[in-house]
Amino acid sequence: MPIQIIAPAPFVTADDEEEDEGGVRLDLDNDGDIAMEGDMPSHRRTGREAGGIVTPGEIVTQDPQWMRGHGTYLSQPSFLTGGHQSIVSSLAGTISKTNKLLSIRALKFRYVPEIGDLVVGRILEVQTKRWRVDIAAPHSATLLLSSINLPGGILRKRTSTDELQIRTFFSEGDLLVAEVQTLSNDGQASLHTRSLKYGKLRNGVFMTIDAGMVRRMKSHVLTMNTSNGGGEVDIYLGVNGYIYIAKHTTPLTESGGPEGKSVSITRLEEEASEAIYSNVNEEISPETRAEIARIACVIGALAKNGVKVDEEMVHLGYEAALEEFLQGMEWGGDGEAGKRVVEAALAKRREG
Amino acid sequence: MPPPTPLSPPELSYLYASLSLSPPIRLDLRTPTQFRPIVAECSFLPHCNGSARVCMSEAGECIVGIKAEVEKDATTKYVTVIEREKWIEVSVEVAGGGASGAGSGVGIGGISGAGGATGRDEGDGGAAVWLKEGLLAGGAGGWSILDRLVISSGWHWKLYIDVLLLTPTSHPSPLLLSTAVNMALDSTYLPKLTSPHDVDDIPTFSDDWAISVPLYEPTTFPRPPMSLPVVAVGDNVFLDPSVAEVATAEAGLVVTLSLSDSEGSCDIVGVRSMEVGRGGGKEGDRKGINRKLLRQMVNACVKEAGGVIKGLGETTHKQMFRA
Repeated sequence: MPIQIIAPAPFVTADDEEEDEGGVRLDLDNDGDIAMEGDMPSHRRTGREAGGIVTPGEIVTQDPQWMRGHGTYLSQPSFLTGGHQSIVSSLAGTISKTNKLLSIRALKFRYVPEIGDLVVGRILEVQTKRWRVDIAAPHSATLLLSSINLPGGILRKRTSTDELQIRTFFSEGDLLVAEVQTLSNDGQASLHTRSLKYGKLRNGVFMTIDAGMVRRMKSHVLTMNTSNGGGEVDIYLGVNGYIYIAKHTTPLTESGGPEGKSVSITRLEEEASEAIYSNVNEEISPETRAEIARIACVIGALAKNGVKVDEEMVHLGYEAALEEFLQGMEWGGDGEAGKRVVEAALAKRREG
Repeated sequence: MPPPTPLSPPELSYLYASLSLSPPIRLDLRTPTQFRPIVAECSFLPHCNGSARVCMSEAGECIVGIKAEVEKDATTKYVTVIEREKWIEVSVEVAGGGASGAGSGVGIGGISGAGGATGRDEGDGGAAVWLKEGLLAGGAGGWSILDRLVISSGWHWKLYIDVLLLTPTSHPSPLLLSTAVNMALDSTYLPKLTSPHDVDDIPTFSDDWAISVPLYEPTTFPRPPMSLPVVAVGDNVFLDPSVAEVATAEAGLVVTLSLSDSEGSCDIVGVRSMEVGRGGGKEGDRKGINRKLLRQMVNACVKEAGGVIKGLGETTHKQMFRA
């Protein structure tokens, strides 16, 4: 059958009586006594253990011994709560407690930029001296004309000519990899691409996963050796959940090699900057394209199955996918394929 | 969801090159005629004669409820075609107001002619018109869904098909809507008539749902119609294209089909063109579509649709009247 139709997962009612391992009931007071049975409707119970899920507006606890943390607020005392001040959740997420501090960790959240993050973004708008970039954050980021590599010298001042030619560097829809340089008071990020590591992205595919699914690592640019004649593939794991997978290209600064020594430093920079804003892909072999698609599927499957994406998991997942592929797996139409690959990868990690 | 942005030129050319290879490489490693898995259930809404819920990975989620109402024929003797077409009312809404509210018409996936209320006096354009068109198209031998809505002389059922898009995206796939409507129609049951057929009096019905009559008999044909989007890139034809694939395509069609026998062969009941992207080339550089490619696209739909509609039907009947 060309289509796979899955029945929705049955609705699971939370079991009130079951104590999770490690779950701490907030109803317990200091002596370990269980709070009175009647003081809260029983359906409220389920969420109020550490690790349980609460929704916005749900009372987490009325016990004054707890301090409110992120994702909560104090409600005004009212007759409903019996004149007590209560801690109310402002997010949909899980309760976590650190000593006496209660906070809610959201189930799904937008990326909050931090200085130094490597992000992949897409140009939304071209303005006079800057670009607006979508980085999946609450505010779109800005990229100033002065914080990119301008052609003809890596660190020259921008001129009015550059302003007029702003679209030759980046125009709407272009993908780029950049670093968060500064943050404004309201959390809006300002990016920079003043390194040959950063800049326009080509030769590959773009995909998105949840921002929280990318583990922060030392380096977010991975280079992987692929099988089946795919050659080397670069993976830009943006901290914001935007991912770009492309054919490996040697950074232009290294391309010289022994015979390239004759090129002067300034000449090299000029060449680099001209090529950096090109919109033309290199020649990419079908083998590389197949492996890029496979890596994209692995990353998508990892994120979908709740496994954080990092270098190790991408490698293990890719290996697992290759093994499955040799056994004749049809990834595309098999809804369970991703899950099997992720399970195989996790098993590999446990084995070490 | 980030706002929809056009693909960058390198992305487009990468996709175009991958998809026009032989064999093509789709980004999700699907074969050209493979559909993405969907999550679907039906008959879950109380107070509805038929309902379905369908979720797709990219296009989001869609709920369809079908209600039937007994109505007196407007004219006693000659029921005109226009009168009869009003027996089915389709509305498509986006939850939360979204881009377009009720009645303004939701344009679906760039189907040309389904972009708004033009030239129709229903005032409800877009997807609703397109869905209704497929429904009314009928089948072999002059079969029409409207004949099944006749109760007795002077009385008919009026069907209200309400489609609600829960997660609005800029391009709700035609496949999402048509799958959901197909399942809902397939799960629609009408109360059994207990009064005689040929009497003008107000009809009476049995209140026993166990003997209710299906709108589409599960064993007879045609089955409810189904629309499949198909795009062409180079010489390759792709079914169930993703948003990126649509943006890369050179030509796109939405082919509406209905199953005509148990073997899985299908009748084409309608073909509409679908708006697609730049086709990998520059703006205005798009190639024309030749007859061979057109035939290939429609044939791909006809070949695969049997399996898809049958699969949907089986799922629907399995979930029907469950405890």
